[in-house]
Amino acid sequence: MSELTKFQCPYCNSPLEINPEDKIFNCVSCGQAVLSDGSKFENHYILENTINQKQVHDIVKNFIRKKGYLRGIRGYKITKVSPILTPFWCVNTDAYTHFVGYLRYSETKTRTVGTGKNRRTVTEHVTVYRPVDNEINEKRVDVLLGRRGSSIYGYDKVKDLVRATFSRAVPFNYDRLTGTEKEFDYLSSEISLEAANQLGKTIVFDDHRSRAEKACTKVFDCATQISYTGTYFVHAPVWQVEYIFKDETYRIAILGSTGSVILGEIPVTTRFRVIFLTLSFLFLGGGGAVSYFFGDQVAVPIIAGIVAAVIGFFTLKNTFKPMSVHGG
Amino acid sequence: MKSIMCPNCAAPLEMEDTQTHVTCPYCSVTSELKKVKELIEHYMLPVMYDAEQIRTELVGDILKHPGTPEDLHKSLKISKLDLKFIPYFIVTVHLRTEYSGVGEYATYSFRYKSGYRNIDFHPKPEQGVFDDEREFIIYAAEEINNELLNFEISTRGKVYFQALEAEKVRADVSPSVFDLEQAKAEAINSMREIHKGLMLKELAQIQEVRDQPEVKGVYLLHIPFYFLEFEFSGKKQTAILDGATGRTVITQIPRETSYWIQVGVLSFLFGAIGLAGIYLAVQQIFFYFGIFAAIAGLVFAARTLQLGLKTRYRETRRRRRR
Repeated sequence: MSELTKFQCPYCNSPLEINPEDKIFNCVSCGQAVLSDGSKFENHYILENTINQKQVHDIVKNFIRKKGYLRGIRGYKITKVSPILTPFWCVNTDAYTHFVGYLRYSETKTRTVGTGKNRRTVTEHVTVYRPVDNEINEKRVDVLLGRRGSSIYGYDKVKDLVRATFSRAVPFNYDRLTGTEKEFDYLSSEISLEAANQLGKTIVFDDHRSRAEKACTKVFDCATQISYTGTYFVHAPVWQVEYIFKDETYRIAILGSTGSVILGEIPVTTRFRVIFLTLSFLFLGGGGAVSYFFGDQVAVPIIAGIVAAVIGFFTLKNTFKPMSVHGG
Repeated sequence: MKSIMCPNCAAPLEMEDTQTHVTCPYCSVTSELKKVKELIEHYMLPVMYDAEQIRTELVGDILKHPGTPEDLHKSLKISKLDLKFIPYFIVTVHLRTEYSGVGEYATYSFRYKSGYRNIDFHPKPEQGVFDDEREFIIYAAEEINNELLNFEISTRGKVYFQALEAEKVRADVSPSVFDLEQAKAEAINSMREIHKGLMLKELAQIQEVRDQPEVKGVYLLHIPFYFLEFEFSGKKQTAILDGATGRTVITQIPRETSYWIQVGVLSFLFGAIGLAGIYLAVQQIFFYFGIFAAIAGLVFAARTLQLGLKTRYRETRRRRRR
């Protein structure tokens, strides 16, 4: 026995273009967002794109000039600019957590011992326990990418940007999509409304638990309650740019609503490597000089050694790494 | 072949036995055929990179590293190239766990400053519920490959699986070692592990657990991977690249001899400074200077070796769940 399901817009009856990935469809004729069970979905919003191709080129230029300072990057070429409307779920919740536990820490205790000549002050550390009984009560917006997997470059960073600019979203307008934003590659959601709510809940639970664990040495009880105050489907315009420098490809992702760089790769040139290697040697030499001239206490060379080692850890990393990755 | 009737305009439609979706040529409404017995949703990612493009991607990634031969775009010779579709199950599990057992609470005594000097733990009966939903990606190929197991897969652009497409690009299709039920069981198990971890945080002793697993969605996805072998200065190197997105799963990085010499000289130099420092400190000549040189020199040498001797490169890795 078999059964057949039709894919047809429940409002204007025109056929829906379906794609095995999508959980929300937009009717090509009337633009209405439709859930996969055929019901209408109203909370569809969009962060409007404000930049064009030319501005994208300028943003890339500025980014490379600013972050590629001292590297001598000249003659790069932009090879691919692909704007994508990326789907996000913004799950709004009131979350409340009550947790009980204890915190262990140490207090210093000073006391005076002995009499006469032997009189002296002794400092000792005492372990102290403090009961913790606290609440977390907050309104939150959790943002999830509406896609499984994540081949969208920089998607992890976009979440934070979407959360910050969520209030600027406007209701989704299908005419605008087919008009001014037609160059955008439109991605729908692979995650259904129900799944988004569930996954959002898991994020809140995990976050509150880890905050409770941070506040306590041991948590005895931790209980979270949440109530949903609205789940929105928000599209954010992301420009994915590829550029070539010395035959190698690098990527930059730009958020179209603000024009800020989400994440970008910058080539590491020989000049950059030489600068950081020289720096490593300078710190080594500088630390040596300090411990030679100011070495009347054993702490000085030890501290200088540790400082030089920590700095060297990073300067040497810069000497050897394949490329740099920068957030905006 | 199967014949069915379009549910919209009643036109006759023909579909392959393996096909699940069909678009009516008359009214262009797409219909989905569901067997009442559960149908495995089976997808594949199309191969978007051919052998030549995948070579360019590979060389590009290698060349970003220092000390690699500059003419690699021309000189790299690929001696072996296999394209294989690797199966992954993507399972969304909802689990509700009701538990009861012995929890703890504490009493405090001997007030001291902002806390207490003494803490006593007492058992108390405790019960609660965990109720949440997570997504699991289950690697389902027979050959164990940690790189593919930890690779952050992408499911973007998936289409219904068609064996013909794989044949067209002359690719092998690895069969899944799990059937649908096993994949579900695997995911439910992982979810139970997570809940067990949470329970152990709440309880000192678990006495009773009742859970209700529910699989909210499951599909099988075949992802094309290129397995490459190439030779460099007489040594065989290997690489794996994702044929759908062109990302490098893992590659070995061929380096020029001059690079090894540079790394060797550099780490020798730092190591020598460190050893000289130890000598100076032990001999009590320039004692303080010696201590500094010993600490910094040895750390620098170790770091240089650690970074310089890296021979493999991965573009992305899946982050492990807590």
